Amino acid sequence: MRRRLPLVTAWVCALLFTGIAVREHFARGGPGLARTIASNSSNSPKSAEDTLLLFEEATKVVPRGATITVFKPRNRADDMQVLRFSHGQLPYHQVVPQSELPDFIITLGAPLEDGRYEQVAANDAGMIWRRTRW
Amino acid sequence: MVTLRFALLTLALIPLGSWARPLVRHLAWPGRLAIYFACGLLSVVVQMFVLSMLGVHWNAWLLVPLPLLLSVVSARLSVPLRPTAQTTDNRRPTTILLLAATAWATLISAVFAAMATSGDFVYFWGVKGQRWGAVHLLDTEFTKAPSHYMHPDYPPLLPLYYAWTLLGGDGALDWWGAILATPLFLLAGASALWAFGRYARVGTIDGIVTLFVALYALFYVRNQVAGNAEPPLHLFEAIALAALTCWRERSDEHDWIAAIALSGVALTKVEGGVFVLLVCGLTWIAREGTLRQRLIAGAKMAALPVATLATWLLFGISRGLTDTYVPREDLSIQYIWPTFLDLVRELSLHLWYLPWIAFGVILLCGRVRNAVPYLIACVVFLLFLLSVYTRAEPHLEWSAGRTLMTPLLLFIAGTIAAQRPQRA
Repeated sequence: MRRRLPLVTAWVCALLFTGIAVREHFARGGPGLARTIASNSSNSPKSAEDTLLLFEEATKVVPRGATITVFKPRNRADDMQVLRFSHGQLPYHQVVPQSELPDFIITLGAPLEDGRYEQVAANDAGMIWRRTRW
Repeated sequence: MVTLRFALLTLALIPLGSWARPLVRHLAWPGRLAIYFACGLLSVVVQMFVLSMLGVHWNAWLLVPLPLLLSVVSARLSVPLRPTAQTTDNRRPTTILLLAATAWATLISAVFAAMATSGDFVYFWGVKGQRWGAVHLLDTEFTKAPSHYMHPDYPPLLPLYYAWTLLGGDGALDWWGAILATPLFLLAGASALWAFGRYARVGTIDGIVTLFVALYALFYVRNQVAGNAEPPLHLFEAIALAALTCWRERSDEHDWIAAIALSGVALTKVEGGVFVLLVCGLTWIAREGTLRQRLIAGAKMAALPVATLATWLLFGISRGLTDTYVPREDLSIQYIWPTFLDLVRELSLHLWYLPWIAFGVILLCGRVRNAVPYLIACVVFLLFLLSVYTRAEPHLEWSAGRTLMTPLLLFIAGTIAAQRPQRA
């Protein structure tokens, strides 16, 4: 018994833990290739996915080296969170603080109310704006 | 999806770490590869760190030659195997390992479905890697800027690994590759545990490793740690603990590997420093021999990881990379009891305490005495966590699922030690 018990315990518990992992995996949608790295991870996956897709779009439409900032017009308390996230997602650009007036702005959740900028792209998460007047 | 550059630069760590061959050539090949990977990772990261200390921007020409040269030299060394290490374990892997493969495949599937991605990865682990890789330097100015909120005191191993994968590219981190490294770290940790266990002729090692993989695959998805520092932390912890627990004749057979792995632990997460001090201290006490012999052996093993930890802390303090080390203001004895109750609740790991029970049963079927140092280490680490969480609003639910994986690993090491034959 003392010789077999460890193996029996390992089999039963490993089977149980693997079963739980598989069940939870399928309960959350099962196997598949997500569109973004955050498509199924956060509390609001749709919003996270759209946000990452918007940043992906920005890396294509915003010229390399341009200055850019990001904020939520209706939630400026999130400025710091949005900015640190942007440093990772906009590798080819100069991400600047929201206090500056950059070449491009990404707004999340609401349009930009500034006549100096015009919209160049948008999705459900927000919009990308280019500065046209100085 | 994963770029070829990320995959190649990750796999290149294996030959770059093969300088460890003389230390592990008696192990089965999966374990050797796992340790080469860990040593390769540590080699490039340490060089990147040293170059950054000197203010030198790194490149492949600076990072590759030294570990490559060491690997070539070690391949030509013909150090004879110890007589006790010469007999190999010819047992065939048992079918239970198929269950480990299933659990591991489930983790990979969950990572591909983006179910395990960590928020911390997109907010600072990955961002630091992206930034440091783009400027080819551990950029302290960017990292410590309050507006960036990059947790400047967190040790640099993982972001430096990400920065390594940016070499030769266009300056953008492969975010998919980074989260897919998580199953790789788990595979390497499990392979090392398995190979060391087989070397020490631990009869139940296949079952223990399968339980380990099944549990940690589940934890990684539930706690969403893909891209975080926990997977590499557990890799280095697993190697260090396996090296210390699995031996045939003398308990110090694998001290060099343990010391190298503990250096990796110190450079991966803040709590890794506590782990290093705890493991070094307890190994000291638990060793056989006279006090003098134990002191010498212990000092030899502790020198490298303690020096690594001290170097990182001094670097951090001198460059303003401090945060966690600042004393908390809401520390009060009145919060200990409610936090303790929360911690006991979280110890269930949301699996009815079954992980502890399962490993406990296996442990009790062996020589409990061998496990005592690791059980003490486990309890002391839990007390450390209690001290960290003790505050007005402990919020253990936010991170206990992640931090409790380390004491569980110490408990698993105790289980392996208990199952090890007295003299293999």
